Amino acid sequence: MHTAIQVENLSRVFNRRGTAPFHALRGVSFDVSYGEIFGLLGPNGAGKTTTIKIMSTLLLPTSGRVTVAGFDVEKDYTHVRPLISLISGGETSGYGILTVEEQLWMFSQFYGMETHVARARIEEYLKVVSMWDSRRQQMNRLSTGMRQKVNLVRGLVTDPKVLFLDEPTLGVDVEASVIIRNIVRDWVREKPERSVILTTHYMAEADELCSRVAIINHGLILANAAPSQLKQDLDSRAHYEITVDRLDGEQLDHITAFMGEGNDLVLGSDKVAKSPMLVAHLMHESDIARLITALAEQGVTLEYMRKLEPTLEDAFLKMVGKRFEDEEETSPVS
Amino acid sequence: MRGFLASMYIGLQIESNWTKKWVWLLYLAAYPIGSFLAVIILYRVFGQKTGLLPYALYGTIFYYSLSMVFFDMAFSVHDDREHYQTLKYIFLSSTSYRTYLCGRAATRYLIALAGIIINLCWLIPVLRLPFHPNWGYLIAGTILGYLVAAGLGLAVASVFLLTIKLDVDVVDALFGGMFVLSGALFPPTAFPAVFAKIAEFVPLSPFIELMRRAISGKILTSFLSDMSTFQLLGRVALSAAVLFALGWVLVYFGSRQAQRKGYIDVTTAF
Amino acid sequence: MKKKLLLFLRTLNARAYVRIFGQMREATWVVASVLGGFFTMTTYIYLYRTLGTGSEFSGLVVLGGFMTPFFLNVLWGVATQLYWEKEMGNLELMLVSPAPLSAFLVGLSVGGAMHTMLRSLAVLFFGIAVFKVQFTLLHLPLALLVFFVTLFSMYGLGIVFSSLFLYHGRDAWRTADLVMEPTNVLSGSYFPARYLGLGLLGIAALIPTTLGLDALRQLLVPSFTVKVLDWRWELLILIGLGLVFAFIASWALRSVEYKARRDARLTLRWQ
Ligand SMILES: Nc1ncnc2c1ncn2[C@@H]1O[C@H](COP(=O)(O)OP(=O)(O)OP(=O)(O)O)[C@@H](O)[C@H]1O
Ligand SMILES: [Mg+2]
Repeated sequence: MHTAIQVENLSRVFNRRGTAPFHALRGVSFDVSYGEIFGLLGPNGAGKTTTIKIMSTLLLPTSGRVTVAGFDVEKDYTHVRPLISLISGGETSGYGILTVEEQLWMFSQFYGMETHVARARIEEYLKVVSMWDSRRQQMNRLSTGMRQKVNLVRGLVTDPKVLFLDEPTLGVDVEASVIIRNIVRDWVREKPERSVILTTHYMAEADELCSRVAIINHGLILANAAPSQLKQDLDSRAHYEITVDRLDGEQLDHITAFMGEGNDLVLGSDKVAKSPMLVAHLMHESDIARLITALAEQGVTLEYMRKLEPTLEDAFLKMVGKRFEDEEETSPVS
Repeated sequence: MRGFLASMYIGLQIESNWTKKWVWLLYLAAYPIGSFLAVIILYRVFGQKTGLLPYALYGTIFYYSLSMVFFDMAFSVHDDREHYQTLKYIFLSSTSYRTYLCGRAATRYLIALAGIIINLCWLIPVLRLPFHPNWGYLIAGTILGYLVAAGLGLAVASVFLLTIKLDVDVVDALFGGMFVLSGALFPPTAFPAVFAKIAEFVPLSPFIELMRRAISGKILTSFLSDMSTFQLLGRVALSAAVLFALGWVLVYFGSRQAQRKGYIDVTTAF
Repeated sequence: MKKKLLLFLRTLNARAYVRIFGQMREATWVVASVLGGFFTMTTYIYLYRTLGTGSEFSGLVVLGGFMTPFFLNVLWGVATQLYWEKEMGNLELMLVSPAPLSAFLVGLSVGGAMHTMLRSLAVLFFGIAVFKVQFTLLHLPLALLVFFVTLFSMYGLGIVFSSLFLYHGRDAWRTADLVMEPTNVLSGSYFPARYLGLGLLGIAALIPTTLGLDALRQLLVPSFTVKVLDWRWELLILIGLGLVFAFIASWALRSVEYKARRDARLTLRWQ
């Protein structure tokens, strides 16, 4: 089976009146397989929406090639469109005076669905997002979160192969976000030939949902890997936070010497318990056993210990931040 | 006052910033033609014998000047709410909404007047329209006319604040009726007597008749001919005061009510 | 092929439904349409009495008043609609869907025409009932044919304009506003188009209502003599115009979509 999406060396230039041409994408490449939820992460203006628009046939690439389900988005867009849905966060699309039901029915007709099939799916999905009771409400009376759930249903009713989600939980509360995320996850699992492209500013969301994420900035892909991989790459050392009953500088020096090169120990204090707290950055995870032994030898009692997991946010900030620094060094101030 | 001027400026921006300055000037001059083209053809080709061309032409032109004001006020509620979605920010700003409406409409009025003056410059000599202006009446009428139109516009705007969906048909029917009855296009004496009487009391009628007399220096038909020009001015001043006050108050309640109902930022789209 | 046709029809139906029922939800619409029709008629009839054009003119004018709402609907309801859809953010979704843009516009036209019908019928009703305008119904089926062909042509023109509007945004909007009334005058809603003189007629004939009205007048008003051409010719020309407009429209829609995708203007709002 071919991949769901292939993006090869994609670039897009915007010509804006009165200013120099703007390179929003500068050679972006990635693949998305069926069954995958692929995340696009990046700061504002990075080029995420532009990429999504190109993949969803709304915008032509300046150069490069994009295929969706094997079809070229530039030439075979008529084959692509029946297979995709696009949902953007904060969108107020549709017609305010229609009811939820009517609006969803209308969009299903734009995909040529038979009315009874459409109605059955609308009912099914509205129930899933617990909006069935609001089906007779007019669209302009809905809250942001409700509207976004309806938008999601709109995207799913037509049974697409590829779902494009551009910040789907923008402005949506925690509970509704959870609902939306769960639906998306279940939806992909339901059939093998489905996939999702997601952009988001919530790292936890990407971490939770995505099998792979690409970090994009200034129209360039900085990384493309599974979230766990990115976190690992961030720093291969293991990090622990250990709260102890007592620990002085002298003892710390002993332990540090014992642990050897490459293992860093930092002494602070636990904000809650007001006890001394040791943060340990260890070369190998197994070194923790030696550290505990060393502490015991110094007569220190452990009160609390936990492993610090790096977050996707750390990875993201490090990458995007690094990129910023690079640019400052290389580009002359104009 | 500051808010009023700022609103006038915003109005000017909205009206003019869509194109180059010279195209806009051309547009400004060409726009009123649509309002009187039919009148000229009809009265020149079919109604020559009636001698009513000056009556109808001046009438439509002055009706047009006021219609720009109340149409602008009526539609800007929806335009700001639905299209630009800025209505809520106007409400939040320190300028009251009615001041804003009046400011925008004032710009619209001045633009319309400019277009009219440009067109009169060729219409009067080419069509040999009677032209013996009484400047005092003209200026007074122009100012009072704005108040009349703004009063009507504010009243309609206050209703529009409370209707979610813009119903062009309603606006059409409303202003269409006013247009017939105001005697702009033909003397309402053509109507059955009852309607002819009603026409005299449509607020726009005395204004239009006043302006006709002020510019042509004549009483052109028997419509309202039992009133002297000065009496007409009085009538216009009275309706200006009443209507403007009414509109001013109505919009206040309209906005309050709209805020209460949460209609300040609804969008509909159909 | 069948699938494509079904898609087209379903889209058409859905868009028309929205247009018709979305508006009917407000009851004021009926009142306003009827009142509006009444005022239009009153204006016309008394204007022509003042002009002293004789009573046969009234019949002509009622027909003019009958067609004008369609003319306005084409201009403001169809030609501007893609622009509005873009402003509301719907255009993106319409494009992402497999339905062709033309299906939306045809649906919009059908819905708009049905919606406008009430207003137009009100004009006709008042013309006949209150002002005693007389028509012959001898050629009613033919008149209906001419009427529908005229609508087809008119809305075809509207769809051509819709692509222009979409691409040129506010400029096109202003232009339409500017030419609306003069065009309406030229197309013979106020007086038989023959009076325009040949030069202007050549231009006016491009607007389907011009010949459509002329043909309708020939078929429905027995005393009408100042015709432009025989109605049979006019019908043929209208069919021709309709086909040409349909062709241009489908080409224009595709080209506009392509250009908009290339220049990224489909999604720019408030321009
Ligand atoms: N139609 C357009 N014309 C000109 N420039 C554009 C256009 N669309 C986007 N851009 C520019 O391209 C860049 C990338 O925009 P894009 O919308 O893809 O960013 P994004 O990653 O989605 O950002 P955000 O997180 O804020 O949504 C931005 O600098 C933007 O200003
Ligand atoms: Mg974006």
